[in-house]
Amino acid sequence: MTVAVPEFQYLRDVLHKHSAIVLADDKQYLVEARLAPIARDLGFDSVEDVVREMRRGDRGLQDRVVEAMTTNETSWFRDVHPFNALRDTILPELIDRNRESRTLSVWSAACSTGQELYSVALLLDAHFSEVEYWNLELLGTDLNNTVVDRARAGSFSGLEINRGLPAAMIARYFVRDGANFVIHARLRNKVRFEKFNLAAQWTGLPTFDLILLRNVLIYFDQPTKKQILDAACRQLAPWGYLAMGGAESPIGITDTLETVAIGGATFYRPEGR
Amino acid sequence: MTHALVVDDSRSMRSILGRILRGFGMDVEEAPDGRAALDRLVEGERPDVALVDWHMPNMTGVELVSEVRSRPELAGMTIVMVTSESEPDQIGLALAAGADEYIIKPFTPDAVADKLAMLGIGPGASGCNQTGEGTAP
Amino acid sequence: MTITSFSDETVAEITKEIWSAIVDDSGSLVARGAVTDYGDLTGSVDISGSWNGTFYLSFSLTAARQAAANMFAAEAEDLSDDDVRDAVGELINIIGGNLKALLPPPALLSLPTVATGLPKPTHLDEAELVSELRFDWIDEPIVIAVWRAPDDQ
Repeated sequence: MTVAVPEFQYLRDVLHKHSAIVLADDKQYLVEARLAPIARDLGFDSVEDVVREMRRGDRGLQDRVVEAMTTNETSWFRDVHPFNALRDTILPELIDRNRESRTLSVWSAACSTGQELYSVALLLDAHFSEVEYWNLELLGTDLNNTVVDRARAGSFSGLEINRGLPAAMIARYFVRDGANFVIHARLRNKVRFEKFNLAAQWTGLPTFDLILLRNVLIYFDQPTKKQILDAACRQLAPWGYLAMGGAESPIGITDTLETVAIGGATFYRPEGR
Repeated sequence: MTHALVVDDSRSMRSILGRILRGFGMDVEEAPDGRAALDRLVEGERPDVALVDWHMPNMTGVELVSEVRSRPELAGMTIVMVTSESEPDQIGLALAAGADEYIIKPFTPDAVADKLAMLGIGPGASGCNQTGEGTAP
Repeated sequence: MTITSFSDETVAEITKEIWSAIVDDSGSLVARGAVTDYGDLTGSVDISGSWNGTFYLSFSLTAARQAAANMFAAEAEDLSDDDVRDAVGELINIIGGNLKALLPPPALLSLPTVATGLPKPTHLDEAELVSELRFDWIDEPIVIAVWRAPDDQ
């Protein structure tokens, strides 16, 4: 089955603009494979219909389509700028604030195979040695048990390791294990991964200094987006920061967060703090 | 327009990398080994980035990196190793010789884009300070 | 002596990952059980160090030509024999580098050699076959073989 040319070309342009992915002509089957689930989920008859709907300016759908087309391996330090902002501004601020309590809590909500949370752990280990003996709560959660198990194992393929991980960190923090690369036990022991359903009622969560809610709300309808984001705001410390995906925003979902631009990244924090 | 030099003794690999880099809107030159690459680097306009294989006849990639780093006239040259040598110790060796970044073969186009973005090059970069800086051990 | 680091599963996983990234990502490289025939064109790399031996990647001419076509993004019939050998050499180079990572260091990877013939050493009687896997791709055979040199080499 081939995707009609105008839709394919439009998709190719959007992808190139948003992700550096270049969709070659022989990648029809990939478009079919990645977008068919979205078509099914939203009740569209075909992948073309999904792209046509996207063309009409449905930004939420565009985000979801781009996500589907770009996710074959989750990236380390995804989008780069948010992690630069963490390293240069946010973590220093949070650490300074928490010097008395010697605690730091970070939540990677929708952690998938763990790269996002391990990226934070690597950043802390590489740049903030003063928190080495603090009470660190680095939590990653996902709905899917398989990815949670994989995240706990901290074992990644060469293709996954290639995605955004500075070579110096590969050299310093990983060892080969068969076909894979395993992150050092020291880093694995700093993080915790649990199965968790964002769309269900939340219980038993602590307050967090930093919540990473990136590229996950796009999978939910508007009421559930609001439910999740409101719940996240309740788990966020008054001085805390929240991050969303590069093309996402809380605008239209909740008005309790204010926007903070740091370098090339956008973060959110409780309004009027 | 960003200029790249692809250094690999395999024409098929130069072809694969060239396509990826041209797909990012870059201009691509090729060299079949370290010696030819060095000759190219010392004359003419300097490429913005060199992507360098490890095992090549005449001069290996790591030898090329060492050579480039020993020449003041080539200071600041951005070099990315692209090689099937995949042990963390080998990566450390290449970085110690002076490589800026390292891509393990096999790689996907996304991986190349990611690594170039770290160095402020290509479609994923935007000129801001990149994570790659300051994360060396 | 069995080298447990070269389990069939690991060799297959590595080969498929490389095939998918470099040659064909449609998942059509399929591991088959017993090796019943060999290919026509064979690339090899030697490993020396704490472990000595050779890795082989053997194709039928049709498979080699099509793999090369994918790598060059060209039509199979437009490629020279040299192009095809180049592609085979690069594939065994990549596979070799990744299989080498299963070995204890130091392990040195040679430049690839490409020749017609079977994926086995012709000159060492006491070489030991460690692992041999056949794959099917576009209805053609592709064989990966790991041979260990005798300890006194």
